Amino acid sequence: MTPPKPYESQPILVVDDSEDDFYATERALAKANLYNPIAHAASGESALEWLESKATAKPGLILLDLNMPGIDGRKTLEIIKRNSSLKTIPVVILTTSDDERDVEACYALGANTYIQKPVNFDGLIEAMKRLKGYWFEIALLPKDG
Amino acid sequence: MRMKPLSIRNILLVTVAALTLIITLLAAQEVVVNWQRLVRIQSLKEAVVISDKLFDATEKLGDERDIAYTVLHAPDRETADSLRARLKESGEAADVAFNVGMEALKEYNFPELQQFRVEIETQLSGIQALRKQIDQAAALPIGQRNNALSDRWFAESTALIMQIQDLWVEFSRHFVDIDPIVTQHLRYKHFLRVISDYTGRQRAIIGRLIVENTDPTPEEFAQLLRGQGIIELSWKMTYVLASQSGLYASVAPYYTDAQSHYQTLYDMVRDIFYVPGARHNASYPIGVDLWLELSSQSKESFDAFRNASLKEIRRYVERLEIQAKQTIALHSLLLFFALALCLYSFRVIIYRVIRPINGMVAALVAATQGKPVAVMPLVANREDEIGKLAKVLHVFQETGERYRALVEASSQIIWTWRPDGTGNMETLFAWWEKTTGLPGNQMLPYGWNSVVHPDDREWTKALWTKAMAIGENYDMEYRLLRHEGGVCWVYVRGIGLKNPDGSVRELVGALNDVTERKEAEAELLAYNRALERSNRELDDFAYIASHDLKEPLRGIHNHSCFLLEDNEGKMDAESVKKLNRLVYLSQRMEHLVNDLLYFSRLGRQELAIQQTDINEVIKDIENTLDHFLAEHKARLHIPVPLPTITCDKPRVTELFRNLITNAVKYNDQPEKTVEIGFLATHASSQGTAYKNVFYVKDNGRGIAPEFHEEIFRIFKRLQNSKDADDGTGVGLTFVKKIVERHGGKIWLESEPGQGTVFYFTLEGANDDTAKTI
Repeated sequence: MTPPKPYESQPILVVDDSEDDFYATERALAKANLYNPIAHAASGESALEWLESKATAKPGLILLDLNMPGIDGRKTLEIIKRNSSLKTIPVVILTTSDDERDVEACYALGANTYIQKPVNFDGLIEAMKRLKGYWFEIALLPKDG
Repeated sequence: MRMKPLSIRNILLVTVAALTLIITLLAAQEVVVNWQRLVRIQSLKEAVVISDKLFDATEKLGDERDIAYTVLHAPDRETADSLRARLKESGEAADVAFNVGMEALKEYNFPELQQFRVEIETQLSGIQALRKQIDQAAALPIGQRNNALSDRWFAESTALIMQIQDLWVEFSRHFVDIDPIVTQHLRYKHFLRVISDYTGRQRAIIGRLIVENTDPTPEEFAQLLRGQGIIELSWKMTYVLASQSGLYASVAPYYTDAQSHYQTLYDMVRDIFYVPGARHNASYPIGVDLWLELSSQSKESFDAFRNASLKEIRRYVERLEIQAKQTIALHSLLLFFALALCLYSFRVIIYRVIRPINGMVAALVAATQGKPVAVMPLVANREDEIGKLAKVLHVFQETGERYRALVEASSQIIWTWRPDGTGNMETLFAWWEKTTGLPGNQMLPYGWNSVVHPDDREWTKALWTKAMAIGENYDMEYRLLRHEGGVCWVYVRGIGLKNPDGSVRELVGALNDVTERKEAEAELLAYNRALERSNRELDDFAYIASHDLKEPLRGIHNHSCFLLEDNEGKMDAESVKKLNRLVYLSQRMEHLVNDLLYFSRLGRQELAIQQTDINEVIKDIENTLDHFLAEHKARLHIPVPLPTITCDKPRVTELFRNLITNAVKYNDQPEKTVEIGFLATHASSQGTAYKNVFYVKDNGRGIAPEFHEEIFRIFKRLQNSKDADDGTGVGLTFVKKIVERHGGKIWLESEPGQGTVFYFTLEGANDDTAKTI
């Protein structure tokens, strides 16, 4: 057994207004063998609040839904990527929308990757597995100062 | 005041009339001149007759003088008696000739002749007195005769003869200017007279010398020599004048005869009487009888010569008269022909030129006033310039009539305008006044603009100003303010007609009340906008709805899966089967939602247009569907290379893929073929012809005509499928939507068992960039 990597202890913040989706994501992450602590924010507001509170540790990865009431995913992404202390956190857009305009807009706002939520749970597990590989890769890159 | 210019026909007529007048005047002048000449020649002819009579009178008087002289000196009684009868006859003849001559002369009142007449009358009465004395003396015995009487007689009668001769010359002088030859004839006659007179005197003297047997006194001798000289000169002159005046040829034999008679007689007596002292033996070698006989012969031959000459001269004058008459006849004929020619010219000009032209001018004028006028049929059939003109006029009239008919037939209001303000604008004015209330006389040049809708005033005025200034064509659609309120839309087109120098000749325009059309257009536009909005809302609705549908669907699916996973082995078989059914249905629901989402996106998103080689598109599809085609034993066939068109490449790819997939999927033939082609033109089953048509043809089971429309409806499948992956029945709906987004049309030809051909057009394939490679 290799010792756990530093990122394996970092929390993953899942921002999703849907309890069902959050539950599915949580289960999919476990199925993909990602055992990081998982934080859940049910809205953009609570996510930003959580991120900005000094008490909490900075998450290693943010999974962000786009379509939410209140501050939606786009706005949340924009605020995160403008915040100098938060912008280095990889943000993965996990959304139902496969609209090209949403994809383009999210990348333009600084999203690190974009995953469409599959309806099929197996699909979600596959997506999470891919995400794990991706995350490991970007985590190995030097952090920009 | 300016003179009205003469019309061409007037000029023509005046010219021809002037020419006629000139020709007529010239010819008439010739006729008049020749007529005058004829009159003068005729008077000359009479004068010649009269002068001949006077000439004759002098001759007769000369004869009488000579005979009387001989009688007074007769040698014996018998001779005297024998001559007395001749003397009496001669005197009577002289009187007759004299009276005839003087009588004829009475018609001429030349003033200078009067003096002659008076003197001649006096002298004649003297002569008549002497005649009685001579008659008495002739009866006396020879010895008692008075020589003084004979001398007196001789002198007085000679004086009378000379006087008549002068009268004759004086009279004749009035006519010599008629013809130069006549002058010569006058002189010729004068010399004839001189010969006659002097020959008579010589003979009288010689006769007395012979009778009295005396030597000539020196006076008489001188007289004889002088007379001889004059006679010889006169013979020569007669010859010269006869030759010069062309008489000689006619009188030559008489001349020769008379001259030789004279010469013979003279030769005979020359040595006796013309040489001094020739009377030897105290008597002359010639008897009085012989002398008288020879003299008489000589005189006869001279008389013949004289008569021939006078006759010839008269003939000459007669010839002159004939010539003058011929000239007059000729000139009269010329005059007649000239007049006839002029009349003919008048006729030609009037009937063949002026009348047709007048007729055509009247027809043209009438045509411009809108009245139909028949062209004279005789003129129209002619092949000359007038006939051609008439044919052209006919075409012009027809064109004019056609133009009027068109104007009448047209619902548009046609008008014309010229820079001088004239034109055909009544209809326009009437319509304008009826519509806007602006009187027609206030419309031009800019009055019309005052009733144009304020928003349209400026630009319409600018266009009109430009059109008036440079004759530019224009085209405007603007609003008029109706006098009863509201607006009236009009569409006006103006065409500028220019003069050869580029200036504006005329504007011709048409006004069309397009209010109804504009209203309909506005209505249609509003309707279209509403439709578009409704469509977009529908698309948006479908998008949002399907998007939002997916979330609970995902929950259903996931929770079903979690239930199955978490309670594995704890649930009975029936529950597991139902949960699995739930998973299947949620998946199927997802497919439907995805298709709906995609369909709504097809309607919402802009096309990404680019140059696309359809051959490449098909190649890509063939590669992608490699396994599918092999599995179904299907083959693609492309008979001719396909074109390159401008289109949305991914969507057109999808279009072809859908059609190809369908063609293979719904095909139960062991060998499945799909033919993809392109036609320059193809008519649909409804008969409409389309250009640049693609087709996809299969040898599958075909589709019954009643389903040809239905198959394009979303989620419509002609057969139920047991497999969730088999499709939701949206392929053809997408195909139709893609075709329609490209501005094209899709239709099919198919019968059950006959295979199916899908035809479609793409707007991009209809432009010029469509090329077959």
